[in-house]
Amino acid sequence: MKRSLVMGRSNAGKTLFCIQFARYLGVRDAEWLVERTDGTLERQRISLDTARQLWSGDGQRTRGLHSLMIELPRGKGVRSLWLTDTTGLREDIDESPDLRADMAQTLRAMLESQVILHVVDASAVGRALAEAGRDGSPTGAWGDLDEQLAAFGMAHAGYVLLANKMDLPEARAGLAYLRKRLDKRRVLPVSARCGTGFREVKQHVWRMA
Amino acid sequence: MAYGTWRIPRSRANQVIADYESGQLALSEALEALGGSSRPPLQEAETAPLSRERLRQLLTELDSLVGLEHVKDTVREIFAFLYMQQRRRDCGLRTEPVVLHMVFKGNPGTGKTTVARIMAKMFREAGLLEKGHLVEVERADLVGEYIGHTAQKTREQIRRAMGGVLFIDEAYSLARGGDKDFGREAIDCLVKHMEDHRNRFIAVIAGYEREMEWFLRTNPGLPSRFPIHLTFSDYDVSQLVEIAKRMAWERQYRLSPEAELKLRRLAAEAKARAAWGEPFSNARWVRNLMERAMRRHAVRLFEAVTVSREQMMRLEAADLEEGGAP
Repeated sequence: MKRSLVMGRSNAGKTLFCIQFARYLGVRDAEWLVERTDGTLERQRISLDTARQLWSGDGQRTRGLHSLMIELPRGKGVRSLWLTDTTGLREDIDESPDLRADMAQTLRAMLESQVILHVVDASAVGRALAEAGRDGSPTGAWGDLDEQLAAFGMAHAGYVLLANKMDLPEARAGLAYLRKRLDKRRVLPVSARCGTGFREVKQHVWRMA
Repeated sequence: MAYGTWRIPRSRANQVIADYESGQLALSEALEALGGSSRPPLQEAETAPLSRERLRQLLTELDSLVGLEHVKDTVREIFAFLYMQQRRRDCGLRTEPVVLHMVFKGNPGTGKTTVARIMAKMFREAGLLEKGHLVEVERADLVGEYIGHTAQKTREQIRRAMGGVLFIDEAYSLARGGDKDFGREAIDCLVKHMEDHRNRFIAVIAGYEREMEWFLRTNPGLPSRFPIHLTFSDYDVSQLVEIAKRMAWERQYRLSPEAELKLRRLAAEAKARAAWGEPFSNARWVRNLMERAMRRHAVRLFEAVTVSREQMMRLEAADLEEGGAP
């Protein structure tokens, strides 16, 4: 089964994006497939609204891979693929071993995914830029980690960067920075909260599915 | 397959992720390694791991050896084939995995080890071998003292040679001991690993021509597993002289014209004796002769109070004296 993987730093808004994007694509009865690092699979039936309350929000961490089946019309038939939410990535090396295992699982999934949606908090990038001054770099919101991930992704046809939180005022500067830094066509502005920009993401996923 | 788009070997990717998981890498380093090792193949596609210019460069070192025309032609064939394989792959044509295990046949001192060493380096630079080192072994390194010891020793040598070339000198001696000899076990073990790790190391078996022919006949599985046969012919007199001159040049000595004439005469005599069955070790004979000449040169000038730079470099006919090793 093809898989589109939503990855990025922690607190970039991956889980909310997944939920909202699934809603946008018309998923109603949300059956989540949860893959834990110890290799167990679990099915959870949690409605999108409940999931939003449960999993998304400050200080929440997604553990393991949470996948939703999404269906995209293509020709006469329907292509289905997994939309997978992942554990947020962090840069520091001294993490607890099970967090590490979670991230390693994300990396493994990344190698096998057809679509990679790299979620970046554009508002945080914008804020960090404003703090760093004119020529500064937005440390903390856009670091080595994202840089490497983007460099890695440029070789992959299914990679796009989602500049998230476009509903916040600082995000505009962040988006401009990201567009300048990377291939413009690979940066899509979205707002997971308001559900804007999903049409382009859908087109991209549809193309790769 | 998704891996194809990354152009990164699965084993390598898993290794990086495992390293990350065990805490040896930071996440961005792991990503860099994943992306970094996906980038070189891309660059390679641009600079082509086997560009024609690179191949020519690689071949110059081999070409600088005296003689061995037949060997050079075969090596050129091999590399042209590898290059074509790559171009075919770029065009999406089918390519066969190349088996490069080789047999080197030739008399002593005809450059078998030297060529093996150069080829190991060439294969590494062409991206076929990871390390490109040469592990030189002989019967005693492979054959053990008791039952079961042989496979263990052979496996150990093969493990050392991973990513490079395993060069088995006088390989025919593995089959010489008869049916009860452990040498056969070494051959079986070697053949097994050659199949299993086809892309990870190259086995080269070397020895005298007649013995090697016999060796390949003793084991029906062997000839087909060594598709490339290189025959190293004996050097003729002028090639021997050329080798001597180069050897002198490299050590900043020069041969006087008389010395060169004498060398030519000595080489012709030695070769004539070799035709009657006396052992003759080609380039090694030249090396021994030259090293002896340099020592005699030093003795001759030992008493001299002042020695000019020219004298220090010049080997005279009197310095060249046969003796010692054949």
